[in-house]
Amino acid sequence: MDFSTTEFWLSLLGALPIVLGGNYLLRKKDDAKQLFHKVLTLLLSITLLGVASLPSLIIFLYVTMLAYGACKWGEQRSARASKSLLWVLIPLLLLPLLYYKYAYFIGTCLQEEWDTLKHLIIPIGISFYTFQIIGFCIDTLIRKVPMPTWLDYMNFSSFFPQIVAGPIERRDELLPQMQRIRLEYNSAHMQAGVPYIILGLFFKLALADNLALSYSPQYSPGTAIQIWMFNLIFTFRIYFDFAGYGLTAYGLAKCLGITLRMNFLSPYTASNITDFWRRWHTSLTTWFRDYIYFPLGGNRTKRWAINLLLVFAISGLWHGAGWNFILWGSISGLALIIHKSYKQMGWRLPGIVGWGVTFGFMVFIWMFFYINDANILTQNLHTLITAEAYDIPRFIAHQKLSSAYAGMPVLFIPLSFIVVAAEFISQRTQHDPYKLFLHPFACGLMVFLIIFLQPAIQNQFIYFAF
Amino acid sequence: MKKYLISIIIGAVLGYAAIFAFAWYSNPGQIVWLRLLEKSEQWEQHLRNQSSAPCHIIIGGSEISFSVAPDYILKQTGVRVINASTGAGSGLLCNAEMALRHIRPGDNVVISCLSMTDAMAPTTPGLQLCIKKRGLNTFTDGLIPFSPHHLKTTLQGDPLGYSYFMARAIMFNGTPYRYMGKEARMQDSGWIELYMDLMKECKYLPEFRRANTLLKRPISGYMQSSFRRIKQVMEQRGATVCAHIPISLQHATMRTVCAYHALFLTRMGIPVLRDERLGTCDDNTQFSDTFQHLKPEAARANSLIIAQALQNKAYWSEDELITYLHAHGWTADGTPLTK
Repeated sequence: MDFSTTEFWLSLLGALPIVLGGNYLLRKKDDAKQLFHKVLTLLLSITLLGVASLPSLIIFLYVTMLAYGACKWGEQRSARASKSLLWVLIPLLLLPLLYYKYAYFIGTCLQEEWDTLKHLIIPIGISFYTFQIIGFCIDTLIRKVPMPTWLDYMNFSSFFPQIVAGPIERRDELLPQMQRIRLEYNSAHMQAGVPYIILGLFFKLALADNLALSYSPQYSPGTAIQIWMFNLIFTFRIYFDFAGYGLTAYGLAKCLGITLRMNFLSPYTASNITDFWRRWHTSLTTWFRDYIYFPLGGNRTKRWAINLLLVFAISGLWHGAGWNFILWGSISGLALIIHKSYKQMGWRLPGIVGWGVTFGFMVFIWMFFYINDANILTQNLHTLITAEAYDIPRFIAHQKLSSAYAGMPVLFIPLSFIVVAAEFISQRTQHDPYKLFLHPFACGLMVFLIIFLQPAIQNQFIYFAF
Repeated sequence: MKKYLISIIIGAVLGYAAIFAFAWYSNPGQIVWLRLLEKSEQWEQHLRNQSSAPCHIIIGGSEISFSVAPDYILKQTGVRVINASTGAGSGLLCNAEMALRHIRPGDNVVISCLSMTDAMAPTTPGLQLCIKKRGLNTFTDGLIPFSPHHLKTTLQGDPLGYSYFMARAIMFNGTPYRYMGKEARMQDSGWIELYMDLMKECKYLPEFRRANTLLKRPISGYMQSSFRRIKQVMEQRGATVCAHIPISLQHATMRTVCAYHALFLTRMGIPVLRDERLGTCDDNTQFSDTFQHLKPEAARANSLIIAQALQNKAYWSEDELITYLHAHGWTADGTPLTK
């Protein structure tokens, strides 16, 4: 389900004759047609996941069936029994995630020479759909709302634009839409969706893939400027890659008349860290806020800072099984605590300064995200605080010996800043960070740039690894 | 929706047009080849001005561009060699077109046999080269670089990658190809010194099974007809033709394959330069970045071996090659000897 591949779009085109044929045959039977649309959507989602990875499909079916069965059982029981069920259900739902993603990491924490399970491949989308289904179970069992039909539930869980890399949807937002889904041409839906698809593919193919060629986390460069450059490249790369996927998913869903959550809201235009986390991976941060932070007491408890730190440490761990991810999440949490604290004291940084501090901070801490080798991370940190490491001639000499693609930052870092600036302008003028990009002229320009800038070497969406 | 469709179509058309224009005018591989050919023309002029004695014109891919040093050969042995190679990516017939620009009656054309089993048909870059050199269409007459296949390969190009190669070449005064700065130096006699040291960790030595597999693969009909055609045209121009098996980092058992291919060519009437290495070398320290690109010192040593074979007109005889094949368990037809 990689949107950047031709195979994915050809698969959708392959389903088109079936859709058209079914719509024609059932044109006078609306109920049957709706059922047909739902069944076909499910079949398409399952097929795409199964073709991508059969083990992933099997694990997905385990999680969804278990959740459905449990919620169905809980539907008939008392509120107390339903809540108690969650204590058993959630660990069971997390079991595959824990095994495939964290078992090796846990093993290495307990035993130094742990080598078992090192080569386990993480099933596609497991971090996303597991959380989506857990959220569904919590909402259903705690609020005691009626269970949807199995078909609607499965479409909610498996909707192909978002199952693999989010956004993590909520029952209240996505389920009603899936219950009404129609696979029919609608000019307004297409017009609303296609520009987002183009924008998403532009972010991924023209920007993220080129940035991916330009840095290497496998060694410590030895010059501080190089490290900052790698950090800056990764800062943009992860945004364009992840947001690119989300925007393409958003656009694809829009074409089908489904409105997904906007997962990114131009995070690099944020003027403070709290604002950043309101714009970055919104579906995950709100999930953690609603299902972990608020139940722990939220802002209303004296332990709010510890709760916040805990939530962000867990969020870091969600991204990857490694101490560097926990560190990354914890540092983010700490920054939030500091921001909240001085905000409470009435302090505030002026707009541009706030932006600079926030952006610079994120550029710095992304290093903890993409470097999982403790030695390299330590060396880099040491280099960054060494004055002699800020040696421009040495940096230029290093560039000369680097691979051919090391020249990419010359174009793509400024281009990335231009895109972020365009988001800022769009936000200010259109109250939407991506509105400017949706204009037909902008779409044509992005199509041109996708074709012209797309590198010969492409990378899989970065969040497929989660 | 109509506005979006129109803008998408225009964007796509302009995008592909830009790629095409870029690939045609700014392909860095092309630029390197053109520069190499200019150097080989200047070198040829230098040789012809010196004397009217015949020259040996060696053609092939990058295995020759990086590994045959005409200036060194001339200095050490007095043998007059013109390195008219470009890259394997242009195809054998396009390389032969390049040789035609140099040959005079009495000259000898040496064809590097990079592959005898896989067809090395003219490619878009090769045909572009022939067109850019104008008037070259002896072997490539009727071949259009804009056929659907060629168009597809052109449109799959990487213009941004290309422009970076070129930008870095300008910035760091190097060759505008994937070799940068201190990695590669183009020499005035039309070859490139390559300084990369990537093969030192290479454990690439294919198992002997590979030799057995390759021996079973038939010699490409296309390659056979290409060789025949090249021989015919060169002889019509008063030149002789021979072949050379280029050196590669591979297991010694591959010598059997090379011997078989050498025998095939010999029986076609194309003598093969006698080189005891028979196309194989298992010393990875001699190689630069790929298993056919020699480092400068090894390239000079390689050049001497070729030059001495040319000077002595040392070619493999059929009997020698058959004896070698028998000694290694194969018949002259490339089948295992039954015991």
